[in-house]
Amino acid sequence: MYAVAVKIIGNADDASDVVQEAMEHLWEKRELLDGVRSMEAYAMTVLRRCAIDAIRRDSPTVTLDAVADPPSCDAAEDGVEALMSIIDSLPPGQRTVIRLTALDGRDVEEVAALTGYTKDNVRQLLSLSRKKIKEIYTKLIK
Amino acid sequence: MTDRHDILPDGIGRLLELYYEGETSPEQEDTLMDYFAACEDVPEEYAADAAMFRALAESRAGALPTPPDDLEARIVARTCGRSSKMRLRDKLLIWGSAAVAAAVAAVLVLPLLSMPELDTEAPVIAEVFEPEAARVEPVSAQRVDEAVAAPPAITEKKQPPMKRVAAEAEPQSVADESYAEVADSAEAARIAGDVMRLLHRTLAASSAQVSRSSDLAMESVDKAIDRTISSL
Repeated sequence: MYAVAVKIIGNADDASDVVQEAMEHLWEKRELLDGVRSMEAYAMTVLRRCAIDAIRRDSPTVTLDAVADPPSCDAAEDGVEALMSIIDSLPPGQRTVIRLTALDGRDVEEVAALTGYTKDNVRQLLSLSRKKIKEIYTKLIK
Repeated sequence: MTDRHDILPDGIGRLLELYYEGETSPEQEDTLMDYFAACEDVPEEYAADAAMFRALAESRAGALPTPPDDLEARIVARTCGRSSKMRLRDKLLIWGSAAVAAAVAAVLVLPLLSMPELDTEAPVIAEVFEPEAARVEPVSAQRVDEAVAAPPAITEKKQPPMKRVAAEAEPQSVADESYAEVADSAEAARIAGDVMRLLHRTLAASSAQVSRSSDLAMESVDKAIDRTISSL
């Protein structure tokens, strides 16, 4: 659960809080869990929803301009770190769908079910986020 | 745009187009990731795409992060720990039920432990074991004189077996020395009636004792629960 939370949230402290929140939710609902077919799938869905709520609560503090023009950021060398910085700079909706698809491996339908967006909304947000990431990478490489 | 992607092999260009429109499946995205991770001489105009897909592949292949040491303790404190306070009422009900069960068990056992005392208080029972020799007619003065002159054998016979049963509590000796067959059907019926009355009295007393103890225990538990709930 913690590993998935880190993938969706992006930093260790917030991921811990999300795991704790998910476990509290499961504990409070424990009397209803006997009817759950797959406890693991249910727990992971609870975790992902808690993570999405956390992203929506915390709007990004880093601006795209700041990421697009870092002092000495070499995209080729920084690799994952640079990519995570770029993703963290995206608006909450784009950040959520790109993390759920690219890092957590969810498909469009799953993301729609988890976030409450329509599948078209999810595709649109994915398109925007991917194009923005490529735009920043292009600037970094030049 | 499509013409530009023609320099990429095996439909990679078309997949890349779909990717940026948000239309690719997870499998198609894996194909793109695998291509850019394995291809060393990517055309320069796709350098940004290659850097992005390589970073994505690297992030997926990275080691799983280790949760902080205190995470489990924090979760326990916020779930089991918090629940011990929230569920005080449940605990009280459990302990109350256990107390009632213990009280009922004690009440059921106590009469069994005191059964020997009930036996000693029951002279009617003792009559069952009274030998025929002890059932003598009131003696005349003459027979008293004869008895004084004669002796020890008669004195022994007059020793009341009922007292021996009560004082010495030797069931085996009672069976041996005091057993008597009753040939008279009327006498047998009278003895049987006495036994049934004694049995009825004993059962009635035990039942009343159980009922009183259960009522008191339930009343105490109810009061305790009410006090606790009102203080929550």
